[in-house]
Amino acid sequence: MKAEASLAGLRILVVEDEMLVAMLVEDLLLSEGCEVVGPVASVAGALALVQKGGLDGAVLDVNLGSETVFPVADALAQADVPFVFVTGYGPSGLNEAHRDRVTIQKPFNIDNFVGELAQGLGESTSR
Amino acid sequence: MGNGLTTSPAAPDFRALFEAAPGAYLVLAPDLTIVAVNESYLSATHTRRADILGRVLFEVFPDNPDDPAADGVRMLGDSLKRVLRFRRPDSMAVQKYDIPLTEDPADGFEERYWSPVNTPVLDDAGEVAWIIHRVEDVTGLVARDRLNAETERLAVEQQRVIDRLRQANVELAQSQAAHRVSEQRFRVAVEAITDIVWTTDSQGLLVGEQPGWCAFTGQTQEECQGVGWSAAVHPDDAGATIVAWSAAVAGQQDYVFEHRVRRHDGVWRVMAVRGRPVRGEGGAVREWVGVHTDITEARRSEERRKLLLDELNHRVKNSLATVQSIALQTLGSAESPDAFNRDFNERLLALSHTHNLLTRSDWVSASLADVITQELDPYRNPDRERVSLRGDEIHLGPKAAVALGMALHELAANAARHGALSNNVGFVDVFWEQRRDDLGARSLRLTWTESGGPPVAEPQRRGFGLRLIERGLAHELDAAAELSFRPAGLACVIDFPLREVAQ
Repeated sequence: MKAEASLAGLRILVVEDEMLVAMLVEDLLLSEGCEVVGPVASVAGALALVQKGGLDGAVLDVNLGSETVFPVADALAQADVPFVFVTGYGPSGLNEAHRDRVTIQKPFNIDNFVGELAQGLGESTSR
Repeated sequence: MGNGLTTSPAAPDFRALFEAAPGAYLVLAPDLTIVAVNESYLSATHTRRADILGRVLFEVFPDNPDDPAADGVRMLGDSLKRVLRFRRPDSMAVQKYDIPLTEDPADGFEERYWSPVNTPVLDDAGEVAWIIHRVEDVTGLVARDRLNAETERLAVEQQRVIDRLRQANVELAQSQAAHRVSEQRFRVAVEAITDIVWTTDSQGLLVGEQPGWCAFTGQTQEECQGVGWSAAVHPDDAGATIVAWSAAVAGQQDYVFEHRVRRHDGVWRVMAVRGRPVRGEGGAVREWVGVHTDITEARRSEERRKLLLDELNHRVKNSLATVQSIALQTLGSAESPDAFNRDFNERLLALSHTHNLLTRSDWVSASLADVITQELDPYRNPDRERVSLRGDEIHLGPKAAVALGMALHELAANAARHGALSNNVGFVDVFWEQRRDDLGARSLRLTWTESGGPPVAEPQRRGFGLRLIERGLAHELDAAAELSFRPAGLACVIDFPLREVAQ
């Protein structure tokens, strides 16, 4: 059973270094009634927002140019905030600690995006 | 002469002398009947005087009927005829003339060789009165000749054997020389290839000289013997290596493995190992020969290749996602299918232009002037007098170049459609300069100022272009972008921090 979209009202952090992709993710989240936090393109910027708290979930691009998003993932996991990865690499690009997280492939299957996101955030919260 | 002869010196007893003469004598009448014979002859021919006197010679001594080649009778007969005719002594060649074992020829013959001389004794009238037939039994001599001949034959045979041995020796030497050449070639090949060739005994223990291994690892010959070589294998790999090697030796199977080996300079090198049993004629393993190949560089370039491929995949996927984003957002704000086609097409080309610039520098940087020129070119009039580009030489990293390129495209497209470039008199001034704040941090300010276009009003809705400039640039470049919809013309000021970029 695919989790049906119930993302309205959630505060979602978007970490994505590709400007146009970030704008698309933002669009998709806004159309679901989410409140978008960010988007931010760097680990430092993202960590600052995680620290502020109040997040219901996060969409993390794995590769942020010269850095990877894993410190942000670690911080979110510690704060018990669910998140999904977004990458062009597939799960092989993930490190051990986060191998089981839902990974959304680039480019997006727009029809499935919200479902995958809801599933990823739901699974994460239910842990 | 104390030989017991009783006759006086004045009158020798010729009969006695004849009888005692050491030679073997037979006296024949001209009709070849035997008239006298001495003891030597009788004893040499196993005959008795009484049996032969008065008989014709050839009756007494016929040819050996068992010897088809016997020609004694003919030869002797010829000789005697010559004596009778020429009245001169006639020496015969050594003659095979077999002698009957008894008086009855049926009892068989004894093989004998004779050297006969027939000498005529002439009467007063000069006619042949008697013939003295003297024979010397040369059977012994012939036997010796035969022995000599046999010895000679053996010597020749021996020589032939010696020659053959010598030839074989020469061939062996040649083959050894060829072997040496081949061995030398092998040795040079072993030295020339960078691989390490090693040998072990049948039990898989390293024995003897191992120049390749010792040179590579710096181990001494003594250190590497047996399983001493494993000390140069990485501790994490050594156990598995021994297990695999032992299994190969036990199973007499090819050994294929990979492990790290410490080079003489202490650097760990990744080695591919191959070992193979060498079997003797009976099929039993005689020894093992193996090769270590340093595949560190191959591995490294393989990893680099994989990394590049990953990077390429990442870029392609990101580019696709970017195009997807442009398409979806263009679709969201397009007023008609034609407008979508036009806007989407232009935005794709804008993105592609900046990619081209970046590709020229191996995706390291692009000149800001080039980025701006590329994005404005499609919208400039032919004489190019209505756009002014002024600014410092600045190099942007890939992300800044792409983001700024897209933003400038949106500004240019908007100007061409609604602003200063939509009529024949409007003007666009683009100016940029590098700044430094009190702390020395570099930043860039770019101002876009339109004038002479149709009157400008605040837009009803925020389209893709505006959003990209106001929100996108902020996100991508930490930029502060301010758009002013002044009636005289649109103005845009973009401030963003400059990061150090390789040129």
